[in-house]
Amino acid sequence: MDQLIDFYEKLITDHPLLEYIEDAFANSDIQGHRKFIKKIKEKHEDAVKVGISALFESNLETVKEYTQLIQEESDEEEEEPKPDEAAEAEPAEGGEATPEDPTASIDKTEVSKSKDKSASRGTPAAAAPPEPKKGAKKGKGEAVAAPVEVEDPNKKPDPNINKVIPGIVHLKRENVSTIYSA
Amino acid sequence: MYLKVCTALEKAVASTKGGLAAFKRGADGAFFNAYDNINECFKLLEDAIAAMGINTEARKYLKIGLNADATSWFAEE
Repeated sequence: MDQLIDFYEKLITDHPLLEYIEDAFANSDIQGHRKFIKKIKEKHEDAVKVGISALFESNLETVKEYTQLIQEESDEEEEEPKPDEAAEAEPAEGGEATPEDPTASIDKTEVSKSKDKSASRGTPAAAAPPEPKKGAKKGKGEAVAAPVEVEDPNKKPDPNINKVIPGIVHLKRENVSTIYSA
Repeated sequence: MYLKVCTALEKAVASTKGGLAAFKRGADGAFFNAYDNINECFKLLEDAIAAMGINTEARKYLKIGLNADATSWFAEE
């Protein structure tokens, strides 16, 4: 690996027109890629660019491994915020909603369900997103449920009014203004 | 510009020992590299670029990119 890095460096110094090196190391040699990019940035800064194309044509596992190493965010760092986020999400939502909201208990059960699901999956990345979504779903539930109950008897039956598409938050202007004013 | 580069490269290749027959173009239009080592190849490219007279001292318009394709050509060890 070091020999190859030295060889590339020699090429760069000998040939000043050489500006771009692609796929300098094998796909499996992720450490080599990292070391080479670091060394090139230190010595030549913007003069030489390093490209990696073959790696991203390989399987998903390799790309995941590479991105994990590049970002220097280990699994430990991703797992750590998981309980913190849960702890932050509960008081934040609960603090706003618990005093009068009857839905707060439902939210907690939903959060606990999401925790159970995430625990069963065992993926730290999948565990973090559901918690804020549950909070958003609460707002969504309020925004959607109210018009369904009120508008159905008044207006002629709308075939789509009872259809709720999961994952899409229906924002009303009233709700948005109350959120921003609060 | 592209045609100018192509013609300059063809001239440079034709003036080599093997000529255009040795550096036969592939299906993608790239020349086959008949040189023994990469330094000779770089030298040919640099000479061709210098002969074109496009690059100035202030700014270099034509540069060289290298696709090592290490996955195909080097042992993983």
